[in-house]
Amino acid sequence: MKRARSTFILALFIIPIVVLFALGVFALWEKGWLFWAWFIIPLCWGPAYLLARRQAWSAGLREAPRVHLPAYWTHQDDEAWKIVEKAVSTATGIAPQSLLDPSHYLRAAEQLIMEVTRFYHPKAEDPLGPVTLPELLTAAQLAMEDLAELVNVYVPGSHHLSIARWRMMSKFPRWYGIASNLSYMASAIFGPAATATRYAIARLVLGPALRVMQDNLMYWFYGAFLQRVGLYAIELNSGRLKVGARRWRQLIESTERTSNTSVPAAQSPAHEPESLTITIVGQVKAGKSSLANAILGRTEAAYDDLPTTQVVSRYELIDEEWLGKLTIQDTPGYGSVDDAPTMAMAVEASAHSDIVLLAANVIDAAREVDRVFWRRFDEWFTSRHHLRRPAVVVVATHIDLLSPSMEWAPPYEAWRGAEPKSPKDEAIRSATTNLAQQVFTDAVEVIPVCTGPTSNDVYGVEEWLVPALLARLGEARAVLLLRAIHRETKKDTWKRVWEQTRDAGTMLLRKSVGA
Amino acid sequence: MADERSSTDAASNPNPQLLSTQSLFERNYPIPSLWLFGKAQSGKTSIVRYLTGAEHAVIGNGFQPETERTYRYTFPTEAMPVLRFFDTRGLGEADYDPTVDTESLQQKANGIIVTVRVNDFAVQPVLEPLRRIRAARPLRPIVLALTWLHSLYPRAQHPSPDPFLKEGDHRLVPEALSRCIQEQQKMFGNLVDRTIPIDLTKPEDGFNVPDFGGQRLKDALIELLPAALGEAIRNTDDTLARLREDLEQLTSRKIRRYSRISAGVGAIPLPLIDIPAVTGIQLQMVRRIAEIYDQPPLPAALVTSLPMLGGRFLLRQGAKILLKGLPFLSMPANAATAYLTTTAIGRAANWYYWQRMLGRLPASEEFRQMVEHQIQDARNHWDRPTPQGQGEAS
Repeated sequence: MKRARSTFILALFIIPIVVLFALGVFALWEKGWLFWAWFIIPLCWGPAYLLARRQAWSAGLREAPRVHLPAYWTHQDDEAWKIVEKAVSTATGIAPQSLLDPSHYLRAAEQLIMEVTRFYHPKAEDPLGPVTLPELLTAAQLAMEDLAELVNVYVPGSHHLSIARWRMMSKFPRWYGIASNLSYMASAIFGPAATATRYAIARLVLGPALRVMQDNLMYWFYGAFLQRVGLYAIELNSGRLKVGARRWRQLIESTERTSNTSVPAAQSPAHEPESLTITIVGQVKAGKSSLANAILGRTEAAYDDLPTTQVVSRYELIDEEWLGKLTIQDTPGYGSVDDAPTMAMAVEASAHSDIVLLAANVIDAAREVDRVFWRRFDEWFTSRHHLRRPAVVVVATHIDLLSPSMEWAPPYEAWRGAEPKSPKDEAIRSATTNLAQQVFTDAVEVIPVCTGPTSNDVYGVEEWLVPALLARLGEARAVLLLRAIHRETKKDTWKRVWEQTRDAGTMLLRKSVGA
Repeated sequence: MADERSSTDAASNPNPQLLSTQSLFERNYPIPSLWLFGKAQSGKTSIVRYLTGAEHAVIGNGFQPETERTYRYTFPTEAMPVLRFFDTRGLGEADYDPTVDTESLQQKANGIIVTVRVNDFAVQPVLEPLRRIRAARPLRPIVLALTWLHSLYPRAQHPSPDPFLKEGDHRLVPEALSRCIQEQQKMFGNLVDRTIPIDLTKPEDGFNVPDFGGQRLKDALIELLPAALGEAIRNTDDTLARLREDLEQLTSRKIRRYSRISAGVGAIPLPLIDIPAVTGIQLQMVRRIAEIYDQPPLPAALVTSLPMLGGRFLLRQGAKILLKGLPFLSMPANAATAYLTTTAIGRAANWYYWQRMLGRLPASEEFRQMVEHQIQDARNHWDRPTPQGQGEAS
């Protein structure tokens, strides 16, 4: 019933176009312009074909959609991903015909899962042996969900796409051939010479152009399929799927962190959903609390001219639009090299966060303590291979104190490559460059800010620091968010697609378990 | 004066004047040696700059290694010391053990200035060695200079009138500052004899009082150091003035001698010969003056501009007279011109090297102006009916 109605609506849309098309063709023929007007087709499709043939273009199309790799992946996971990428890159060598065969997908998936598993368990005789059935099911579920979504998003009308229709696609060129041959016969009656020319062009240009586009679509889909299978094979082998598909998604979506990098129980109750954590470290009086306040946009971290922060303080920032829940950890400043307890506290807090902000007072030249912190921080991770070290962004604080002290007239953009417009601008530029090139060569970025004395004087936080943070942790998170929104608004479509793919998913699973 | 005689006696010595000045200083003036003790960028150089008037960059280069991490800067020069500074670098760095360096300075320094940024409370690396230093010589004065006061009231002027003066109004001290000072005093306790809030900024920083608390520091040193050394600090300017007198006496003798020689050469009535010859003599004179001031050779820019200057003036004077068709008249005129330009250049060099010695870096333009000013001065004398006033002065 529903289908009949939508077909009717579609027909109402199409009828005028078809009628006008026919009338137009007739009018053109009557005027004797049809031969020339027809040339618009080869003129457009010809270049399209040539462009599609060019390597860059076809590679762009054939390349599977960029998959957003989890940010928490360890080095081992990254290495395993290379196997997946290799499988995707060799896909172009496969004959287009076999891409229309579902069993080919199952074979390829099976092979890829085995390769990845073997990478994680090189010595095991039966690599899949230790994997539990729920884990395997979880992987299959996640992969299928992703893939279904991919089809839903990128392939128009995909919820009508069945396996039978998929196969039918291979016959499409033949229909086109028959239809066009018929039309040629008809037009040959009206103008034999012109038709001969058109026929020749069509054979040489149009047919192959259509062919290339169709192939590209199939390779693109196949690549995406392999990527998803590979992604979850890695998740499976790293043991992260033990939590089950739903919990896994929840974790990814709420925090983008894994269960084994949780905050120590003493500081965070285990049941609390994990949020993105930014930890601020630095020397005594480097301006950590002021920085926390500037990021929070409110005065929450106790600030004083005497050193105040003695414990790790945690503040929450709820940003519905971009970050979701964000936790900012403010650590006590490490005072000197022998100040072991505070240093250990800073290292521990940083290790359990997603991004570390190292506050460095620009007017302070003693950087040795910061180097010690950095060393300890690295050491913490060298003994834990399965964890990934968060990126460290150095925040150059107190730029307002740089000479000339009395000058304060932002914007100061010289450090980002603009022409210095004042001595202060130049001083900020040189201080930032110095920190980046001489002191913190491992930092992903050095960003100058001013956090006081009053909130009116805050500069560089909204302008540079927050965008930089978003760029660091936003990408994966933004995609997850988008996915959630998408699912909410298109629930019906989602359900349909899920039903379509479920059967195929079970098949894949059966195959994998059988191996 | 005493050095006059000794200089004529030791004619064979390449630079007898210099030696005599040096011995004069060692005999008559005690040299205060101050030990600057603080982390990098805590304001040590600014204190040296305030006490000497030398420029930042000159002080930076002036510090010569004493031991591996200890540096020494003698003002104005090693040969003619008025003040001496020691600096231990590396405090607060991980691999630095200050023991060796502090040992080597224990006997050399008369007083210690500990520099700490007023809100830098990571003072452990300073406190530790300071305890040992204090224990070794408890009577040697230690002054705690708390710097960077303005970091607690950014972009505001220093409180005025100065609340840290004896009769100052303490209520004017910003609350944050006063708390930080108290906290620092608590941390340093009796390791220091006096706490001095100080903020020595560069003119371009825009403070109404660029050397806030400078005099306070100087007074504390004068008061706390042993009497003779305190006096030496108080009289730094007088000492420098006397030194300048001595040096000028030495150089003016040189200038007169070279001026006489150049007058003789200038009298040769062939302009193409006398100009290069005179400039050669002038260059030689400037080199000699540099030696007296114990300064490195002239900057290249000044060396090249010098002959042109003197020479151009000479040529102009010569041409004027030749045009009158009386070539033989040019002889005395050229001789006088050569004499006067050489004297002018000599005096300008005298001024220039004195500035250099004090740790200032005059621009080459300033030097050129000084030469022109001196020539103008000399011409005024020359144009008068009795031009010989210059030559016969002594």
